[in-house]
Parts: sequence; structure tokens; C-alpha cells
Amino acid sequence: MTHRQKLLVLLGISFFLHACQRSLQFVRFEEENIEVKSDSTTQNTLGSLDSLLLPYQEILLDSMAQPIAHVHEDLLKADANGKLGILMSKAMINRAENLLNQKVDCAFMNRGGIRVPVLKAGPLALGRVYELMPFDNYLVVLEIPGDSLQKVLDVIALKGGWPAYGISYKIDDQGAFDIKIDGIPINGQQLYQVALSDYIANGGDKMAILKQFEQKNTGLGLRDAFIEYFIMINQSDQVIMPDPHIVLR
Amino acid sequence: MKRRVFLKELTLAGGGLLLAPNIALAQGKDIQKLTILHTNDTHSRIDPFPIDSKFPGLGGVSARAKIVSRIREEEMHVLLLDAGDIWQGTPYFNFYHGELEFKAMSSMKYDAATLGNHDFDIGIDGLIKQLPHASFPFVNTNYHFGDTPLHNKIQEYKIFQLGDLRIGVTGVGVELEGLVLPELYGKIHYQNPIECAEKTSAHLKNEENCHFVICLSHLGFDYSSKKVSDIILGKNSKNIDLVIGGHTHTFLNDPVVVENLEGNPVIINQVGWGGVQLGRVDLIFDRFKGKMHSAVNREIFS
Repeated sequence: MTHRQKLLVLLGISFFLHACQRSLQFVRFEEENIEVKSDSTTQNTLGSLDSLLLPYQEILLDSMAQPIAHVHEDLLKADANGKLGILMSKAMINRAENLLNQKVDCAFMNRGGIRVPVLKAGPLALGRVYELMPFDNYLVVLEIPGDSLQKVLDVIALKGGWPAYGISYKIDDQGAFDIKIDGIPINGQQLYQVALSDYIANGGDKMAILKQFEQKNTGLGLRDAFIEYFIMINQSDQVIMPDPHIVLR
Repeated sequence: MKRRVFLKELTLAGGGLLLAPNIALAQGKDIQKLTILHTNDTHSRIDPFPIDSKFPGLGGVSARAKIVSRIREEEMHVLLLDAGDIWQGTPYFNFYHGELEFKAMSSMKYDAATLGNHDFDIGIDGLIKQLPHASFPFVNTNYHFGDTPLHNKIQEYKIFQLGDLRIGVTGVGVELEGLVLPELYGKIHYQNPIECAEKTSAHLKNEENCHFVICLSHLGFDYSSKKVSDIILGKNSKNIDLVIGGHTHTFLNDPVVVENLEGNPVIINQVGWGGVQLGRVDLIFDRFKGKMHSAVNREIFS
């Protein structure tokens, strides 16, 4: 071997060693997003995770079955006059006033957000409230001037109306009229405090009109607001009663 | 020009599986395969979706664990990653405050995860309380935790040595302001995710000699506005090879490949939400594809 050949071989070795450490290069990929579905053929391959889950699942099922309150009569979702939505609106005012330490004039419960057709008379299980409100939305309060509130109600009227509390209104295919807050006709100049789900307040359910208003977040989940309210009623030895209400159509 | 060919080749291989049998046979010192498995926005879906829901019978940690375990038996090098929003969405979270989600992921041997906005839903203290249940590290490079109790508990990146492969994994999170209540995220400062991810990725490639850099992102796949997204992150990077995304709950039929600032491909994938899908990307590394290396070989031994 000549000196030049030796040098080349050495060089080659050093490049080769260098290559062993560094030159693995990413060249291509293959992909497959796999649908996650349980497969009967592999049912016993990972018992350890299933046994990890079991105690949690049992306690959860048990807790969900626990009654937290008593419902006096069937509360139907129905339409804007549905007793269930009216009760939910009442609960929203109660919790928002308590948490923000201020007066809240009225509340709306968007009908699409009521996820069960009825709360039956009898014991109310915690799990039923999760079914009633499976979403993790927050309870917020908007400050809306009367003239804007009229426009908001016009939009709500075109949806067939929403259950509410603290406010009454009539609707036709033109919009809302005969609006009264706490029994007093709406004042275009006055600021009203309106409790809502943050989903609606942020423009959800095609309520973009609400995005312009200042928002106060209670930090309380809507479902927790209902749970707290129902427990509160229960603790004062009351049953959940429909409120005599004045929403008219 | 070569980079364009490279990108084309990459996209082609992504579509077809014609190379799969060869790779299985040839895998050795010179060709190495790494299987990336990933989830995002699992949102406390411990059980499969109910029958009357949008994804009847799909998802569930038990089914996911079985698939992961089967793939681990088949493949030599596997990384299991999550792009955040592990929490919130079922009563399991309301009841157990995230403990079961972390324990289930630890049982599946997740290798790393990043933090989504919902992972702050019980505050910084709530997260710290559950961290001992996670056997895997959380990575994030654009939240400044310096003034919070999370300082030193979240890593900027994690390096995995798998055979001869060195893989760097970092993470980026979405702006928390307006998304999470201020009292929950406290003094965490959001910093520009593109700048932070690039700085960390450059470090992983140049200082730590990583062959491949993965960024777990909770920024969101794409927006109609100019809001920073995985697409924008990929296009404005130089050293990120794969973005595992989340936040927008996007179901992608196939990963999207964008060109970075240097004309190199960046793969972006996301698998919807709720653990309905498990993402799988198999990466193939070839020792003799190195252009410099093959040229040198020919010169010396011919």
C-alpha cells in the first residue's frame, strides 16, 4: 500500500465512523391513523389497565347514582315555556349573583344546551345532571343595554324563543315584543345584567350579536351551577318546584 | 433541486406502502425504523364513547392500550406521544381531578406529552398534585414557568436514544389568555411558539446531534385568521421534522406535508379528539442516503 492509499483508507475509516454516529438520515415515512376500537381477539392482553380502571369506574357509577335533590313534578324541556329551561335559568341567576356579588336581572338558557327532554318527578341523581349538561361551559354575565337586548331577543325569537328567568317576552315571526324585566317594560337606555353560558356569550349557536358585550366570568361551570343550586334547595329541605313564570307567546 | 426530489419522494412514500416489506427485511444497522404513535385532546375519555354518541363504541383507554401493546410487540423502536388536553370532558375528570388519565397513560408507557389549555383547568396547583401519577415527562418550550411552582417540573425537551437513532421531542402551547381563567394559569408567560420551538429544535439538531426533531403542539392545525397554527409553525421552521398537533380536534385523513424555510419537508399530523384514533407515523432512516457519505465512499474505494 502506498502512503497515499493508506491515507485514503484512514480517511475512509474516519468517514465511516463518523457515518455510524451521525449519517442516519430520515428518508421517508408511512402513516396510518388507526381507529381505536376494542377487539375481541385481544381482550385479555392487557388486564393490568382494566384492573386499574375498575375501582374508579365503580366509585364513579356509584356516585352518579346518588340522589342530590328531589324533583316535585316532571320538568319538561318543551319549548321556550318549558319548566326545565326556566328552572335552569333561575339557577344561573342565583349562582351568578352569589359568585359575582351583584344583581343579575335575567338569564337565558339556550334550548339546544338542554340535553334531556325531562327531569322526572322523584329523586334526582347526580348523573342525570351530567346528562342534562354534558358540556363544560362556564356561567357568565353580560352587560347589555336595553336597546341591544331588544335586538338580541329578536334573534332569539326567530329561533322560536329560549327559556328565561327574570324576563318575559312575546314573540312572532318579526321578533320579540312586550318585553318586561322584573315586570317592568324594557328601557332602551338601561344596562341589564344577563346570565348566560359562555358558549352563547362567545357567539355560539349563531349568537354573534352577543360577542360585543362585556363579559364577567363566574369561573363556575354551568353544570356545577345547576348541581350547587339543586343541592342548596335540597339542604333547605325543599323540593325542586317549577316557578310560576310569565314568559308568554 | 435535490430537496424537491426528496420532498416528492417523501410524499409518495407517505401515500403508498410499497416499501413496507423491504423495510421490514432490511431493517438493521443501515436502515432504521421508528414508529411514532400519538394522541391529542383525549379529554378524559377513559371509557369508549357511548352507543348513542357521535363515535359509538370508539375510543377508550383499554382499547388504546391493547393496540399500543400489539404494536410494541411488532416494532423495535416506538415512541408514544400526546399533544395535550388530556383533561376535561367526562365525569372522570370532575371526580378524580386527572389522576386516572395520568395513571392510564403511565400504564401505556407514554414517552412524553405537552400541555393543552384544559390541562390548567384545575390550576397550576392541581396539575402539580397529579404530576407524580405521570411516569412520562411533559415538554414545553414556549411557556415561561420561571415564576410558578411548575418551574423545573416541565422540560423544554426530551431526547430519546433508540438504537442508533437520537430523537428530540419538544412542545409548544397555545396562548392561555382568554382561553383559561387568569387565576388558573397564574404567572405562566406565553412566548412566541415559532421562535421558541426553532431555538430548541436548532439546539436539538446542532448541539445534541438529534437525527429527527418532533414538536408536540397544542396550537391548533390551521385557522382562517393569521393566528399561529401548526401549518404556520411548520412553514416557519428550519429544524422541526414532525409536528404532532392538537387543540382544533382536527381529523386528518393523511398527515399534511409543508415545506419549511429551507425547502425541507415538515410532516404535520393530528387525530381528532377523544382517543377515537391513534396516530401512527413510521419513520424510515437510511445510513447510505447521506449524499456526502456515498460520494466519499466512491472516491476512496473505487
